[in-house]
Amino acid sequence: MDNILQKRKQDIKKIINGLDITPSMFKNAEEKYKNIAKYLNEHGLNVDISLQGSFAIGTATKPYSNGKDKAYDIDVICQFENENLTSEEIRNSLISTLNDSEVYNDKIKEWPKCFTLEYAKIGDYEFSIDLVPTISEENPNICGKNISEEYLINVLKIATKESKYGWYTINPKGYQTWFNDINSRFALYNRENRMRSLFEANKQIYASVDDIPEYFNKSSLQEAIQILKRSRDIYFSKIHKEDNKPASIIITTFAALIAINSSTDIDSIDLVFNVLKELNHYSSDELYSKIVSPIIKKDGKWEFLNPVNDKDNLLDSWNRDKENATLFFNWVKKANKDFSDIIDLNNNEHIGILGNSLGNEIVDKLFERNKTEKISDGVKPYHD
Amino acid sequence: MISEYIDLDMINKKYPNLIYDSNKNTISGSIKICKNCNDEIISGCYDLLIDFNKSSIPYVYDVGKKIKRNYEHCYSDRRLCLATDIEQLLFIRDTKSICLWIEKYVESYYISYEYFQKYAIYPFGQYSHGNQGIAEFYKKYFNLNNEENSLNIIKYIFFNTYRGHNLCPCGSNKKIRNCHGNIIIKCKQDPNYNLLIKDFRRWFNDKK
Repeated sequence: MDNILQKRKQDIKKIINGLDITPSMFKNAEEKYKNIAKYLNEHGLNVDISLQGSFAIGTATKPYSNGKDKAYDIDVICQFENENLTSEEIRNSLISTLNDSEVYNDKIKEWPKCFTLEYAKIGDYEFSIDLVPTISEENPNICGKNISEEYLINVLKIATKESKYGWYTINPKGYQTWFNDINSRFALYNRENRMRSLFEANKQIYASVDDIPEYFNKSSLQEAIQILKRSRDIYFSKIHKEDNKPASIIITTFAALIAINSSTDIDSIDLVFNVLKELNHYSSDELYSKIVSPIIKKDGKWEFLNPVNDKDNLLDSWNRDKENATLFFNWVKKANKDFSDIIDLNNNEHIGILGNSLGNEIVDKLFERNKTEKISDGVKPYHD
Repeated sequence: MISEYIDLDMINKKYPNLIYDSNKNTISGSIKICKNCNDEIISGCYDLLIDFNKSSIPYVYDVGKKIKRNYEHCYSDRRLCLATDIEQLLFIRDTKSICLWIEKYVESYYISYEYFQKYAIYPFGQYSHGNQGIAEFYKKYFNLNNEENSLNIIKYIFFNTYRGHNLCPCGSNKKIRNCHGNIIIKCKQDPNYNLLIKDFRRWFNDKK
C-alpha cells in the first residue's frame, strides 16, 4: 500500500519536473539577460540586472494558456544606479538604447510596468524576458512600520507609464530574502543527493556539482508551490477565466507560511494537501478562528498582506470582484479532489486525472500514452 | 423521411455497439466516447435510443440514465436537447449521414455534459432558450452580425422568388449570387420546409 502511495506521489513530481526549465534552457536564458546587461552598460546605461519573481525563488512553472503550454516568462529587474532620474528619463533611455540594437529592436513590447523582449523559438528554447526598469526607493519604510529591517534593504520603485509617468514601489529583494529564510532548511534537507542526481543527468553541461545553479536545488516547498501553480493554471484555463486567476504570490506566500510549521522532511505532496486543506477553511462564511491568521475577512473585505510590503494587499482583486474569491475556492476544492483521486484511484485511472489536472500533453509524453483525438467543432446545446 | 440518411455501414464501423431495428425504425445500444476537449480528456460509455419516428429530426433518449435530472438540456422524458432542430436538419441534409450527425451532435452533447459537471461551464457555449436561441443560431448559420439581417434572409426565403442579381437581403450590398445565394437556394429547395416555417413564425411573432 505504502509503495503505491509513494509511486503516486512520484508520478505527480515526475510531471512537474518534466515541465521544469532544463539546465540548458536555463543557461541559455541566463546568457540572454546577461547579454542585455552587457549591452546596456556598454551603451552608456549604468544598470544592474537581476532575476526577480519565480525564477529568483525557484518556483517558476511553464506558463499555460488556452489549453496549451506557452513560452517561459522571465522577470528581470533592471536597476538604474542613478537615483536622480525621472521615470520618463529611465523608460526613454532604456527603450531608445534597446531600439538602437539590431538584436533587440524587433523584440520589444512596452507595458505600463515593464518592457517585454520576445525571443524567437529556437528548438526547445522559447521564452520572453520582462525587463522591469527601477531605481532604489529612497524611503523603504513606505513598505510598512512592522516589516523587519532585513527585508527593507533594497526596496525599489518601478518607472511606470500609464496615462502619465509615475512610480510604483515594489520589494522583490525583500520578498526573496523572506522566502529564502523560510525555504533554506527545506533546501538544505537532502541537498547533496539531489545535486548529485542532477549532475549525473547533466554531465554534458556541468563540469562539477558546484557548477549547478542553486535554482535547480528544488526543495519540497518549492516543488509544492510549482504543483499548486500548475493546477491553478490548468483549472482557470478550463473554466475560461484566465483573467481571474489568483496571482502566484498568493499561493507562494500562503504555502511558505504553512511550511513554517511543517517538519523539514515533509514531502512536497503532503505539503500541497496541507496548503489546500488550510485554504479551504477560508471558503466558508464562518470566521476561521485561529489566533494568528494571515488571511482576514473583515466587514466583507479580504486582506492578506504581502509580508514585506503591507501596502500591498494580495487579495485586493477579491475585493474589486467577489467572483475572484468564489473561483479561487472552487479551484481549491477541485485541486483537492484531483490530487486525492490521483493518490486513491485504481487501475491507472489516476493517469487520466493527472492529465486533466496537470496537462495531457506532458502526461502523454512522460507516460507514453497515445494522444487523444481532439473534438473539432463542438455543438452548442439548446432547448426550448 | 430522415431515416433515409441512416448510413448503416458507417455506423456499424464507427459505433459497433449500435443496432438498427428496421421494424421499429430506431437505433439502440451504446456509444463509447473518448475525446480531448480543451485539454480535458472526456471518456465514457452511454446507452441510448435514437428514434426516427417522432419528428423531422431524430430524437435521442438517455436510456442509460447517465444525465442528472437537474441538467437543463434534457427533457423530463430523457430526450436530449442536442441543438436547435433546424441546425440538425440542415446538417443531416447537407451531409446525408446519420453517422456524422451522431459524431457531431450526440458525442458533443455528452462531452459538453461531462465538462459542465466538472467545471460548471459549457465548453462550446450554449444557445439561449426559446426564440432567442433560434435567432442566435441563424445569425451564426448565415454568418452575420445581427439578428435583423438574418430575419431578412428568412423572409426572403419565404416571400421572394430567387433573383441572383438582386441585392442580398442580408444588407451586404452585394448581389445575392455573390453572397448568401447558395444558402437561400438550398433552403428554398428543401422539401421539408416545416421546421423553417415553424421557426420563422415563432421568431417573427416574437419580434412584433
